[in-house]
Amino acid sequence: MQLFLRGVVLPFQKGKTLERGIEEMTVSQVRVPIAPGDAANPIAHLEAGTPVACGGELCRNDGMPVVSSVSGTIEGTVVTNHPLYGSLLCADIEVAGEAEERMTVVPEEELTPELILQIAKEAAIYDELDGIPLWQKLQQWTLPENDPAALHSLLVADATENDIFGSSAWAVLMEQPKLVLFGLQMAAKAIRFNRYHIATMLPKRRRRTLKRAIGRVNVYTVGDEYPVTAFADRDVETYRIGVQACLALGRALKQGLRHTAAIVTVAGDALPAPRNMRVPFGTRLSELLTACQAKQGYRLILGDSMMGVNCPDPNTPLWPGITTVLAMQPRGVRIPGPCIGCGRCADVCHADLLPYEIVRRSENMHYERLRHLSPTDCDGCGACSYVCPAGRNVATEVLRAGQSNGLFLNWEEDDDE
Amino acid sequence: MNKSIKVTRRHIRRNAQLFVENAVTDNIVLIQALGLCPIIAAGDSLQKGVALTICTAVVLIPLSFFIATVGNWLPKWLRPAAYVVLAAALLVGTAYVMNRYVSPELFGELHLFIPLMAVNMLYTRSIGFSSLVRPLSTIVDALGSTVGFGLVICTISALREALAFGTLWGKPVDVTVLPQEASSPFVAFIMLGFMAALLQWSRQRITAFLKRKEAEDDE
Amino acid sequence: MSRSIAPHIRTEARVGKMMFDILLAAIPLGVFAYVNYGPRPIYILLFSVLAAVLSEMLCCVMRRRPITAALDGSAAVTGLIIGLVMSPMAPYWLPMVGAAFAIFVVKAPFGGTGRNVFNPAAAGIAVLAYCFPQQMFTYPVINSVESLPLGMTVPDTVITAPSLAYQLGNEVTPQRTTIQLLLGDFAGPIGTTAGLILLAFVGYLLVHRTASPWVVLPYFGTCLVLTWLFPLPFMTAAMSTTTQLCAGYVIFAGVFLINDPVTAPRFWLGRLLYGVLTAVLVMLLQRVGRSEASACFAVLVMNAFAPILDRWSWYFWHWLTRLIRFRKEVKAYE
Repeated sequence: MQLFLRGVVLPFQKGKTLERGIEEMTVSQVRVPIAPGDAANPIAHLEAGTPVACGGELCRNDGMPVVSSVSGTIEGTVVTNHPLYGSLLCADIEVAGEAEERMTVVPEEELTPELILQIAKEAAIYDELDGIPLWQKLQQWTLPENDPAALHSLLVADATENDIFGSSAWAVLMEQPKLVLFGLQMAAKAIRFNRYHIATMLPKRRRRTLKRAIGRVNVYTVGDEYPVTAFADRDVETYRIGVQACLALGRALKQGLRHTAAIVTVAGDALPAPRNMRVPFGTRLSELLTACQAKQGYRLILGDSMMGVNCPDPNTPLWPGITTVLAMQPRGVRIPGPCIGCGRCADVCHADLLPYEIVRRSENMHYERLRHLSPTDCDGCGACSYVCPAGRNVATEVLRAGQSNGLFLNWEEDDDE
Repeated sequence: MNKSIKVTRRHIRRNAQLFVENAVTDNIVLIQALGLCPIIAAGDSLQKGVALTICTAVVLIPLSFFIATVGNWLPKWLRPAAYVVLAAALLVGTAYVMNRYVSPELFGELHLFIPLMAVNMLYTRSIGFSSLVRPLSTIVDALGSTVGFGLVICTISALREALAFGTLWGKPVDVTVLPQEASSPFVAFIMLGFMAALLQWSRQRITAFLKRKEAEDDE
Repeated sequence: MSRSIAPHIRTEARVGKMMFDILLAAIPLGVFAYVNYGPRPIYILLFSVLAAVLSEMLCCVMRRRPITAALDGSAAVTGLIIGLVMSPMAPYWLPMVGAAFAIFVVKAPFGGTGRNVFNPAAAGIAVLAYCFPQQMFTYPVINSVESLPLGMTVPDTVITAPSLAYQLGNEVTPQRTTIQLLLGDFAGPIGTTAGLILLAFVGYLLVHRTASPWVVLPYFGTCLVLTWLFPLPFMTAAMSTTTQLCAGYVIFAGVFLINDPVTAPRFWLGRLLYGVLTAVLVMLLQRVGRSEASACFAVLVMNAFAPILDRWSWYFWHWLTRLIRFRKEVKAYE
């Protein structure tokens, strides 16, 4: 029993999902994003009926290959609207056969930092945390040789998963810990970092198994409050990459496989049970949820339950940038009550803000006084909305106040009431 | 000279507007929050309320006239001192008359609040306004302020007297009598708050109504 | 497809539950009062709560809000608190007047639940104590009769006793042991005498997070320290501490009045200061002032300073943490 509330500890609902392991699914059709929707069509040769292999190159986008995640035949291209990435040009591929294309494997001794980055680029590895290509992230962080900054820099494979349902990174870690560690080592080598570790908040028993598999020093345990602030106070600069990206890098280096599938947690109260699924990129979410036996009429949310966004179109393709897909049952609209000033939002705010005061000032249109409360420090973690007993959307208001930096004016017609 | 004091219809309308503004819509007590002290501390019977209103009129009207006419000729550094001296002279006169001819008891109860109220009115209201406009407007303004002040203080003091002591102007009236504490200053504060809220609310309503009417006329 | 805004999950905590937690206090205190005075205190509580809820409903009608908004529990809590400080032999209209005043004058004009500046219950009690001291502060001797008569006013035949605060004010040593004082075995209002029940209830509220430990613990701590540091000269030290804590509304204010989240500060440092300052003011007014309801006046005074305490404490804390972080960065850079 924690007397003084500091930070939120979300309920733990991942144990059963972890025990089921990662489940495979068969897909009939995928929709692979190949370019931004407004780009001129770069794929004149992608004609309907062309056969492609799993891992085969469809086209190149900024020098990085766009890879087919299944083997089959191209049906055509279509422009869809993705809630995270906006308008996307996608290729529809009908699944048939089991053809597979691999890259040539370079022996481990010959790997240089530049070569690892090159392979990460060729293997089309995306970071699942934010959907940015891994090689771009790594290239930004690359240090010159013998740089003293390497002492203060830490590469973290982020398996914290501090959402309620998300457990895909844990499942990956439980399944192939050694390959993940290898990928992480190689990524650290590519950017010349000396220090790296896997950050996780796995339950104790599984953490012990993990430590036995890959060594004690490589696993760092973070506290279980939401959001993770364990890195904030340390003296090192932390750089986060995803566990699945590490795994993909390891597979690309050891087996020559390209990054073609994501492991996502599918959860929510419209499902009989939450599961971790291995899903080819571009799978339409409606197909994924049907495979998980979701009840009809669900509300689809891309991302975790705290920061996820609504996805109105169930045919949206799955694409890196999310590790959780939620199908929630529609619920009645809860009318937010007045703020009664319990102060819990201030208690749980990891940025030490006063959310209630920011909301009050922006509601009363005292924009000029907003900046004293530094609402720009808010990163929208949603903890304040989560704890609010009156059901107010505190986080949204604070985020809006921070983005507008006090200049946002929401003028509405005064009805003189 | 003759031209400047000619009263036109426009003048009348403007002055009437000024009067109504000070007396009701921009009430000097309820909206501008002036002269609260005598109302809250001294206004606990109708007699006192009327006496304070008369005192205000006696001090404020000549003073405003003086400021508007003579005041602008005086050098700037002398003006505040001159105003204070004049106000003090008027006050002494009023006090003398009240003590000698009207009611010594009333003067005994009120004597602290007369200067308080006069200075309050003088410094916050008259100087800024009166030195800018014509003498006639000044007098109308002072009259409006007095009437506004009188309306509020008479209402509140009558209510307090009736509710707490069951009397009005010293004569018993038939109302439910609350305990004596109903005449205490904090009750007056609450009454003032509610009156101010009522006035603001009706102002809002009227403005909204006029706006709607205007919109309908435009259509 | 319905839209909603992240986060998509919420805690189980609800405002209604918090209000219900406080309303639960009616059960132990009601039983205590029933055992000592018969059913009359129960009726007083009921009338008080009813008056508060009806007033709130009327306000809802006047402000054109749905009437169900009055049933969120906050009005009932106000009524309950006012009812609990009534004397067991108070006339039934007394708590109703207080509750109506609290809702109509202190709560509704400021904008209703969540926007009131002053604690409505404290203001209601203060007004009653100011206007009707005779009815408020006449207490029957505990267990003197089987049950108090149920009429509108209690006849003069009931033996009355001076309250503890009154005795302390007149430098009389109450003839009670420490245990008796803690158990509430002395003349006083319906709900403020049972010190142990109230303290247990505070524990319940803390466990349920309805009360913030940042307010409650500093308040009681400061009260204890102050009574220990400044004992009454005409009593033994230990006895003095207990008596001062049990007299008046000291414990009662710590349970009900300062825990009203609307009128207390919300930042933890502000809450701490609020608790400490309220305790100092309460003990000061208890010692110097004459009124038995000094705790209510202290809470009202502190309510006025709550927003400033809240903001300034946050500004101070923000400045301090920024400074420390900046120093650390400079050090790391060097």
